[in-house]
Amino acid sequence: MLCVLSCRGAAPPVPPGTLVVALESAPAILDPRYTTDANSSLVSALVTRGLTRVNERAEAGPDLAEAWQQPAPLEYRFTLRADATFADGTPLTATDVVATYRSVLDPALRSPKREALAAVADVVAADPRTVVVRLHATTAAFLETANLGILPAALAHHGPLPREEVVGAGPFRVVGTLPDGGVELAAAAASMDGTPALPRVRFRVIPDGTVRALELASGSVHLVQNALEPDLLPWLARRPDLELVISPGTTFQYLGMNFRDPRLADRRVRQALAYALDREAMVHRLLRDTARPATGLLPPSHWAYAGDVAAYPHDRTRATALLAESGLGPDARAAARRFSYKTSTVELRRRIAEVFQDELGMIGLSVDVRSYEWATFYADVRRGDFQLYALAWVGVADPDVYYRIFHSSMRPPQGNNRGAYANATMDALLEAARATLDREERRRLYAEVQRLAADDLPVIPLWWADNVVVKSRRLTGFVPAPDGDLRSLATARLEER
Amino acid sequence: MTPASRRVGAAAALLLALVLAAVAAPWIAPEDPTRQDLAATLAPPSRGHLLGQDKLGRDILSRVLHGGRVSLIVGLATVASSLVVGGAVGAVAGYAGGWLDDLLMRVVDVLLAFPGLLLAIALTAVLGASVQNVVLALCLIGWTGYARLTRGEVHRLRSREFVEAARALGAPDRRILWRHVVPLLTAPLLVQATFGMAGAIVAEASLSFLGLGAQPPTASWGAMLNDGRAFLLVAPHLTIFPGLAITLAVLALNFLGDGLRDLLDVRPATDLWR
Repeated sequence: MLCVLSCRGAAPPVPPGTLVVALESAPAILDPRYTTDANSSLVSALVTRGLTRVNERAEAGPDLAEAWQQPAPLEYRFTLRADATFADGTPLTATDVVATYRSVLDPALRSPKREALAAVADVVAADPRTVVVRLHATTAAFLETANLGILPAALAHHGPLPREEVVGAGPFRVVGTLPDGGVELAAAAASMDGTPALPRVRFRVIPDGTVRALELASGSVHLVQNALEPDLLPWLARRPDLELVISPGTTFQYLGMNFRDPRLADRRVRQALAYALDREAMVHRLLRDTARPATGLLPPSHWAYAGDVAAYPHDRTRATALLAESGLGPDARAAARRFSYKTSTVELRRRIAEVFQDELGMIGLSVDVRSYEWATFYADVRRGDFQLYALAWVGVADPDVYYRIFHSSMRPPQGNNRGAYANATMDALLEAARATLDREERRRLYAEVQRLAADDLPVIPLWWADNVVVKSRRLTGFVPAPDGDLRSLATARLEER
Repeated sequence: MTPASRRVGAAAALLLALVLAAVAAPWIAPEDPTRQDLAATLAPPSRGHLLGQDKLGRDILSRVLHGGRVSLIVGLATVASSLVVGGAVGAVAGYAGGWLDDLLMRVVDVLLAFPGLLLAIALTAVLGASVQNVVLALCLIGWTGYARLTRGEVHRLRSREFVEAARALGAPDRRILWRHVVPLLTAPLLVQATFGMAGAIVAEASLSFLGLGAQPPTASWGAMLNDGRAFLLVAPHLTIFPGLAITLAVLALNFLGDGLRDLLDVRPATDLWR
């Protein structure tokens, strides 16, 4: 069976000096205007660059734009780097930036990132190096969303570009796709910050975790990030040619609930669920301490993080009492105490589901675990077809993401309020927070948002996953980023054997 | 004692032991098969847990014993329902002949043209993952082998002298079929059922392995194999013991079928699953 799995989609021979990275699933889209899944975003970010770049504290810094000013509350003027070029050596000008932004804003091209740029009224080129962005309304998060990868104007007029046709200003360029759905990149000779030392990077798709571990151990794969079974980490770490690097990450794992179900609209039931789950034990025993129990969406490293929020330590007695208060105690009908829980088919996700099933069973709730392959599961979640589910938010940057997740107007397809949560106080706080540019005022408002979210539990925070990297010791100069970004590959090298 | 009867005896004894273990699982299993102990996940075999503990610290011995119940129930239910449906269709087709025979056998041909397991996967994916739907899916494709076998046997028997004699004495068709023909089908169908049950156990394990069979926290051998797959490098006992259980059950059934075929002098039967 392992042979069948490992032989699936055999890749062409690896050219010398090529770094091989194993992914769980294919980076299906590299066009930065259309990337939504984590792997596509990671690879796309190596090929393209945006006006700004978000740092580890989720603050916007310069990237293609070397500076910017805000002459009026609703206007930003970006000055592009003088040496800004695409990977093929063509100069990158304001015209390319304008074309890329306008294509995202064009409803006909149906970019999923249009909503994030909804505040943008217009983008114009003042001169070849100056881009002017005008907004409809004050939007504090604009600079963080200005990290959209820029494409050449000639390509930006089209819809989603095939992977081979994506050209950006990133340190690498796409040279081909692999039979397994992976992709191969080559160092861009015309890269703005110098040609990367790695001549090629091959992203192979290896769906099976055991095969990924075996390929790492055999040396045919050099890097795997956040795609290994926690129980395999000690086995891999014992190998002299491999290095295990664990660092705090920003991926937020949560338990989602559907407020259309009157039982889950009752805060006491949600709090009972939160008390029933033993997050500490799960993090320690199942995740082997590769995560930290979470208090909310924003991790402690985030500038807007507020830690003084309600906590839900494991307390089965309290959970049972809250359930009884809400009418779901032992006297309630069996059907009233039954919930369905949807998850993906990923082994760790299914295991977590079984622990939830067991722990909720301890407080008298019966949980049917239903695991679906990713596309079906995600479609159900987006459609609101669930009672309970677990998912993660990856790459959280500006706290304005709260607006898309918890504001009552943000039910799909407009936003990501999948559970149809509605709270007038939350709406008011989120509207006020996105309308102010004052950093301290935003911090105060988002602290209120975090406290209210912890009290009201629109989702139950589970944990922040660490960034877990297993890499060949031959790979040097690679620095894992909290959000899993791989851009430090531009300065990494693969030493000779 | 002939080699065939020795083989039948040994296989029957092994099968009986497995069946008894599965039936008595609630009483002999050392622990509740769903009881989790997160402090002892992937623990190797020990005095307290003879076959070790799984990914959630559950006792593997208890889960293997309880998993046998699922496998045997699926095997028996699939074979029984396939036997009834396939036997009836085959008997009618073989005895009636003519257009009805043609029609029923073309339906069988169409179903046999599909790869059995693939069709079962498609059916359970559409119907939803559960043990009941596994039985239904396996039965929907499993009856065809019995129908084809029964039809051939009935077709052969209907021109035999004792059938001619019964017909000459004025016995109605239904009586001839059920009193004189069907009893002679017992031996070949028994052999076929034995192989069919082995096939159904493997098919259930395959579907559960793919997440389409027994749902958590129910223990099933196939689901246990799937659960253990991610830990092959660090905890092979999660996979070895359910794999061994499947091997023993299928081996016993295949030996039993082979032995019965030799003992009862039945011609080789079609294997449904190969």
